[in-house]
Amino acid sequence: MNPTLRRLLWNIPVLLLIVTLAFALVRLAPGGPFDQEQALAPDVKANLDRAYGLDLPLSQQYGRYLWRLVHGDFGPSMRLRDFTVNDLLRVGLPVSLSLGVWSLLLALGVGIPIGVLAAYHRGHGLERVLMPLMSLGVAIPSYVTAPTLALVFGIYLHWLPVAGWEAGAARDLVLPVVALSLPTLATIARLTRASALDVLEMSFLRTARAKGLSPLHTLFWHLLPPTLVPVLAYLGPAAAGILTGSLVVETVFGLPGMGRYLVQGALNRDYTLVLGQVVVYASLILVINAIVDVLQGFLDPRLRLDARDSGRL
Amino acid sequence: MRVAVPLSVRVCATVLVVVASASVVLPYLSHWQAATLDWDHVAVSPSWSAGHVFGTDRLGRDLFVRTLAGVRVSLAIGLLATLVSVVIGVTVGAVAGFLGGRTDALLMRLVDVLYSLPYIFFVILLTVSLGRSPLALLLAIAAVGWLTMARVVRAQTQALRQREFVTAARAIGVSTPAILWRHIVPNVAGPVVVYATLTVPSLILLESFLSFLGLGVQEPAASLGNLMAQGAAEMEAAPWMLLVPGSFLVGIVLVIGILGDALRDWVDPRAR
Repeated sequence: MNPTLRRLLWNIPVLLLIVTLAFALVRLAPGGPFDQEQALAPDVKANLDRAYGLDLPLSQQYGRYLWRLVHGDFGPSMRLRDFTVNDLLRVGLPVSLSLGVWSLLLALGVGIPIGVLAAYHRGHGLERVLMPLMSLGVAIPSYVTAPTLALVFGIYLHWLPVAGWEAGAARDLVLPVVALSLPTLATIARLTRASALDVLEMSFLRTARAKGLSPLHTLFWHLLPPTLVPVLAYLGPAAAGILTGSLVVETVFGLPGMGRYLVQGALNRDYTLVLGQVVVYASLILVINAIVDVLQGFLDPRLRLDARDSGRL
Repeated sequence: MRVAVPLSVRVCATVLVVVASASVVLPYLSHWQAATLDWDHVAVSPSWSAGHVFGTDRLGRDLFVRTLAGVRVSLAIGLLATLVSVVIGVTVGAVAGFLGGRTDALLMRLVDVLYSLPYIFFVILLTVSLGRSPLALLLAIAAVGWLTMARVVRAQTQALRQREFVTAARAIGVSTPAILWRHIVPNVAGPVVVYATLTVPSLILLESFLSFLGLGVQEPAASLGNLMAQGAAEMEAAPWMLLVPGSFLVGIVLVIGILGDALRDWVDPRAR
């Protein structure tokens, strides 16, 4: 079978495993979606359970959930009445995605140049300024930067809105995107620097210089492709990191994305809402990882999937 | 042979020891306790004269003592969770690397799959389903911390497996668990210490992240994460409530990170 196709198909059992694990974990949790301060009357609770199919045996519920899932139906939210999980995703996902995509682009667009620059200036002033800053960036999580940025630029300086979302106005996105991308940006800069330093020692780079290729040509054709292999491999974890950060950043800046639903959903035992998000985000990250695997082959032929699978290196 | 310990390692280690012992000792010397309410000084900014060097929170609790208590909790959870993940990671890595074959393929596939997951979902689901106790928090954090360790140890073990002393041990009939324990584990100790040091800050960050979201350490106990969550809610009126625990968290994570990097450069000068 085509190795790329097989790599993609391999994601199906992984996704199934994720859904099963998440289903088990969320149902293991004590309590249920209809618990309130005041206990419901038994017949009311029984009716609710029946309406949402919670009276069935667990295995049957699991089967039903999977069956709906393959038809693209995430089911009704159990806590936010009158909303299906599909409704919530339709509203929230575009917000979260634009936040995440911009953050990732910012992290790559600034992190890679910083890393390359630091590698070129090894041991000189520029590196000594940039890399400690990047170490600091790795150490400051987004839940510190997000409120601090809101405080400085929103409250003290009044440059940008502290919170809110007006149909995707760019000014609403600036602070959340910066806060969300900083740790990823710093990690990418560090990775790029380390990787570029390794590549700079290679003989083909010396040859490229020796035969008088222009610095720009050397940079884009000889230095960057091998340098970016480990950076590319980090994209999956980076996406997961940005997703993690968005849980906090969306809350701090009051953005109507999916982030706020996850923690609330888990605490409220809103089974369908939590599972829906796990499925969407897990598929997203699996797809990114698969794309990364294929792209790596373009940058480094030794990493092509067919070469890896047949054991030829 | 005496090996000179690099200056950066010594400085970072000293800073850490000082901060850790301060977080244990100083709260006893303070006039306030973490749960004392000082009704005369509610939400005051940092001042010497009021007796609250870092100010107080909405309930008049001294932020200096609470921050130190938070440092203690964060350090303790970070270190313990690292210890648990080292045990899991070394076991999985050494077994996979030593046995090879189908066991290796299975275990490493598992690590690959776990790596590619948005692990935060599972940590959140775990903290919710195990109940919000410190032990549950510890397990949930350790459950994601061991993956890199397993990969590092596996790679090291694969190299060690071929060495003469392992062959010799096998030839005289030493059992596999004994070889792993007596010959493999001691020889991977160097990289394990380095990667454990690099794991601590990430697990401290994970703990404070969960506490920030309200899933980790619960009030009235303090952790840097829940202190910052309160600070973020009050940041307009009382920015010090956010900035004090925030700077402690960043400082600690930074120092341990630098220590880890310095240790790695020392043990393996080629790695960067």
